[in-house]
Amino acid sequence: MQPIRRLIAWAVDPAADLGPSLGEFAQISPRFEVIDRRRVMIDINGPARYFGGEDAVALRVAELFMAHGLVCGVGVADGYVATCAAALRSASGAPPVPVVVPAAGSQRYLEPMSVAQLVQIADLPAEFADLMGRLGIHTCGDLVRLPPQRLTARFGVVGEHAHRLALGNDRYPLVTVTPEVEQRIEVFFDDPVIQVDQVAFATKRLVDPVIDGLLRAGRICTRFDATIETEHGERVDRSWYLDGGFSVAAVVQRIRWQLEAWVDTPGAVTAGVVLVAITIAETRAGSGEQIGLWGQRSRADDAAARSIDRLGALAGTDAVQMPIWNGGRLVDERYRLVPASSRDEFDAAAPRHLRAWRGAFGAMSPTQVRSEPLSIEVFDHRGHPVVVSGRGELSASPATMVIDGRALQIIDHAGPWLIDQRWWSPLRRRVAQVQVIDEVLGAYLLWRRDQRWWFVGCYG
Amino acid sequence: MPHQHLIDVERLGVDRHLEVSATLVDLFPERALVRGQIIRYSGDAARALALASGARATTTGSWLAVIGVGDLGIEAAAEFGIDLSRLVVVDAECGDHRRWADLVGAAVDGCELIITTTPPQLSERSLRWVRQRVRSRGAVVLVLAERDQGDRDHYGADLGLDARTSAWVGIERGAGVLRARRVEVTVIGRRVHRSRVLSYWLPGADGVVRLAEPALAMSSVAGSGSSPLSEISSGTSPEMS
Repeated sequence: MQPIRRLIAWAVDPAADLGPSLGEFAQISPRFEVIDRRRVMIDINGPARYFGGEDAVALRVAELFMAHGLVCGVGVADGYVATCAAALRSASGAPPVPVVVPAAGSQRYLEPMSVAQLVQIADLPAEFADLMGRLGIHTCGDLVRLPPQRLTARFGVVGEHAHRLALGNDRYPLVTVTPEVEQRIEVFFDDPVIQVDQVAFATKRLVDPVIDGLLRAGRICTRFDATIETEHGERVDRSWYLDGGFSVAAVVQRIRWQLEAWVDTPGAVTAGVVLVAITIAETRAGSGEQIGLWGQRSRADDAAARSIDRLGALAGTDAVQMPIWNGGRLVDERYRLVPASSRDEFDAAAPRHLRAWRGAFGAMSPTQVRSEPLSIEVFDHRGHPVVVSGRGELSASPATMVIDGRALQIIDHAGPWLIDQRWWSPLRRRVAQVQVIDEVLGAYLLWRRDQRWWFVGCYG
Repeated sequence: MPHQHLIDVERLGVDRHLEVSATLVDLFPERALVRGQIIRYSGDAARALALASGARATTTGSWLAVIGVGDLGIEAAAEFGIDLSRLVVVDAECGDHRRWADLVGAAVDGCELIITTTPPQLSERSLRWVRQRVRSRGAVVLVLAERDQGDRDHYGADLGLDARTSAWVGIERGAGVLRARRVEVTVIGRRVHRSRVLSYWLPGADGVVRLAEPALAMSSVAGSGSSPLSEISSGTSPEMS
């Protein structure tokens, strides 16, 4: 059987997001699979014929992303792991040069690679690498020389996978099956939706029964196509791939990425979302592996997941929350708490603007942030209300603030800083931020918005 | 059960400590958080110090559950070093002590670190039950007593840390922005013979928590209530007298 030649582009910057440039990428290969924000994969056979060879395609891909300011390693090989390894090696070059592993050369290419790296690329349990290390098995070459039956007997499905992968094969034999009846599911919104959260929630409800039905039939979804459309008819199509199979949370996460990358593309989105459609494009027999909520991590993570379930049973699943990075410049929106049950492992892992923001504003963040800002009053030393002018200046230094009927003396303040938020949407907010310190050294963050003062948080 | 008092984790061979960042080790008698213990944080900077104390554990794999603590500033938690991918926030009313005990009891099953506040009327029975759970699971509970000024009730804490802001740095007469906060921390505990006071930048102007030089002159806002450092460190704290 002809091995499947793949190409993977892997962004060097851990905070990179290939999403916004994928529209252009489709010109090289109309069909591509997004592995995660930093990685995209194609079947290179078609493009190689069209563009005159694999090297030509690889260079073209690298240049395309470079034009978007994204430095990518590009690897071409047979099989998922070898292609990832080639892309990683390419990414470590300065500047990155595409790495093309000759056909049928994947096993030899992987031989010197450490088992630890194999484990990392293939998302195998970390303990496996430790155990192998203790047994003196350090490289993929060492690993493939072990009889596969013994690996399977000793380590179960993980051992079998590791052996197969070290040989340059895919984790699962490539007998993926397109479902007999292609499953397309969709949700329409009567009122266009402008919040990512709402779309994510609807997606979860949409795919829950489908993924569940597949699992009960002993199958898992390894690829799906997603279409999102706005009221103005703009649409974005993506194909998502995960060789271990998608959990519901993982599907929801991909939809989030797709939507966020799309919204971040200048001019792409001018209206709310009215349609989300998902087509289950590829499934295969489940291997009995659990697809965990967090995709199998450490024992501590498993224990935490169980504990989260129990907390949800006690307090209500919506009350058990985890933070996700949300973007924005205002303190109440940069992070948001979402129900732990709908969150995926990658969510919080991207606070990429955090440092930049602190650099720009230079301030500490309040340890206490009110979920609903509280309306308060602020007066100057003569007892006149303090206001903020259109140019962002205070009418006078604040001297007193009244919170819940309690008057506090203000001994110093800073600001205001004007922030014009989400100017493109109905949720637009213009806010002037002020920090004040009271006489017992309590520090507060206040907002001036809609001609009123608001107590937003404090630095406890 | 002949060894009922024995901590499970010791039998499992797990380290009996959770690490704290190197700058904070002096606050803890064993220079780390001790599994099975309850630590009480009081004073206006209690929340900041509790977050800073738990940061190191979350970056080394432990999960943190925050239970019944209203309006936690997530970004501040991140700035103090909490790994947000291992943070769970339980947004529940914990006014009822049995409910509180149930939640903490469920959380310690899978989270090694808990930040919570205690309900107003905590029965001896609930407390004992929680204590036992915490001990048997080898978790560490950081109890916030932000509003309590006195130290009349320890809630059976193994250690008390009272953190009070003594200066803000960065804003001056309408200019600048809050950058740093100086905090005086009093260590109160059964195994701490004399109460100790340590000064910290929580955080410093670079966003990093560090030990403050006791002799450093304070150049910024100082409230009417704050006393010179020499006075604080030579006398006993109000709580201990």
